[in-house]
Amino acid sequence: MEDATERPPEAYLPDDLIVEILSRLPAKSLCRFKCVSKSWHALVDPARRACFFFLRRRDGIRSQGFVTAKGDDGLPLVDSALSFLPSSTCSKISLLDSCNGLLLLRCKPPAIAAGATVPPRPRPGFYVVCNPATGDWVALPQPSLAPGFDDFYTKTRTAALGFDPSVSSHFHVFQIEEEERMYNYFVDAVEIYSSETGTWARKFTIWTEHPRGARSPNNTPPTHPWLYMTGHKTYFNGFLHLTMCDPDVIAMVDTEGQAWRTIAVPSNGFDRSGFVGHSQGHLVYVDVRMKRVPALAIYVLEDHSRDRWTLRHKVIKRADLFGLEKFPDCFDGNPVVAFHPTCDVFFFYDQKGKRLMSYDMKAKRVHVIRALEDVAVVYVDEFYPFFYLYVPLYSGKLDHRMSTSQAEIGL
Amino acid sequence: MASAGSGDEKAAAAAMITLISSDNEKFEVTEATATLSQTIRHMIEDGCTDGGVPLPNVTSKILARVIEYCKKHATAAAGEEGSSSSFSDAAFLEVDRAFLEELEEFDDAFLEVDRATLFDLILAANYLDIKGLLNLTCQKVADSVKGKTPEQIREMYNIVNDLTPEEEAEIRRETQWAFE
Repeated sequence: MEDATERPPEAYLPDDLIVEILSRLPAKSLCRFKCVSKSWHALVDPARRACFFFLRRRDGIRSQGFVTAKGDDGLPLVDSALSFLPSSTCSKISLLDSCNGLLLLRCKPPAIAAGATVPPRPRPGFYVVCNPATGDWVALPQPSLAPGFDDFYTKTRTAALGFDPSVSSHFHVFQIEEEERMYNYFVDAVEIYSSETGTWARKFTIWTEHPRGARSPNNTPPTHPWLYMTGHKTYFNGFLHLTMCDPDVIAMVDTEGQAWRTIAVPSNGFDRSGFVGHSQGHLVYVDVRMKRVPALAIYVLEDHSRDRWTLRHKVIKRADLFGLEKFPDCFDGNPVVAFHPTCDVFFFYDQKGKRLMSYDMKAKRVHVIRALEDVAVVYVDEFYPFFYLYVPLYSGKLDHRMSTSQAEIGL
Repeated sequence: MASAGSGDEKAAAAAMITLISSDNEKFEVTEATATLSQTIRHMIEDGCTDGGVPLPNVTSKILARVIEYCKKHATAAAGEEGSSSSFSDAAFLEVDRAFLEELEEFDDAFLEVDRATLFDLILAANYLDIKGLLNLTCQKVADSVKGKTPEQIREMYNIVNDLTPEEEAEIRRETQWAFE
């Protein structure tokens, strides 16, 4: 204002365009820019960036729903209906994971139509990785075991996505293979796809307790061969993390399938209820605590290479989240669905009230984001509503090496 | 849909639209080029483009650049034939990839402008509602500030820090992880 001859460039970019630019920044830069000035602090509103894709069931048909943390149902430029996917090749879509702006889907092509001499032939599902903000998508070649589809007894019912644009423009997909043993489906192998090489590599699980942890008498770290999934997963720091049971641990594997590790988790008497996520550069674990009053305990792993959890936010009683009214005495599993990437807020779903809500751990305030009636619950170890945190990524093409085996999908 | 659309496109290719900049310069462009702008597309649909389209918010210097972008990308849209090619045969993929690379090179060269021009392009892309151009230009700015510190941002953009030292310390404490 003192120097009228040199106008600062922002002076003629309106706030909505500054937001447009800021929304293209990675979470870390964005967070750093909060202390540029008062107006930037206000513009870097965390609520602008977090959104969710969720599994929905409406009239018996499964699809994916979309909601922002502000309760809107759309974002500029984000095609949340995934209409860029051709319906001719993706007649049925299952959302499997969301990671730093990309989604992992399992698509099923329509059966090959009956010709005069050929009977109709169903075709296996295949994986698609897409960016809903750019409409960019790619179909992956088939892994050695075809992706399962709505089949309760399939060995390959789920997969996870690993992508961190601050480290690499390439992504990885982890197809998890399960094997039945004593009526439980333990994770037997993980087949990992690299977009850099365009190929899958299948690795059998060798989950070992971290050497720094408790050691068995012969001084080799104990292994956990029969772990099974309890439903939550998160990609963080180059590792896929899965909540597992028997015993309750977080199991980790890197993108090469070389490093396998388990982290013991705090247990408070309500098994198989753990949620894993990450926020503000740390792994976060939430456990349902059944001592005296049912509550949530929130832990943070200060150092990713050690198994030491810090109780970050003591306990949050059930009544603090849902109010006292109707259901005073117990949690039905863990209601947490996601952590905000950059602030002390987590999101949870009230299954009885059918509402997506958030809890600000600093202000200790509950906020109703929106009523969502048609959220589907999916069986993993229990029935879960699945919300996938999504933060749009506007930049870059999908970095992917086409492999010749893609033609084998026959599409 | 597709076959009806391509017929329309042929007809549209012949039609010319006149765009008039804020400093009264006239630009003749094809309808296919002009309709990359949703704003102009709506005007054409409403039939109010006879006698030219006045664009009082865009100077001739910036409009010329915007048209350059639209021409290149309109050709791209016409050449694409259908939405995505991820499944097409190898020969088509090769052509497609070469074309995309060329387009990327064009975009990179297009963005080699000073900051004031870049900001003017953002304003024009927003006003004309050209999704691709807005995305491209905003991303360029985002990429240029991504790794910067708050101090560097203030310096780059002449922003006065109006936070009190206490406020700033508090924000930094909250966002400590972002500075690691």
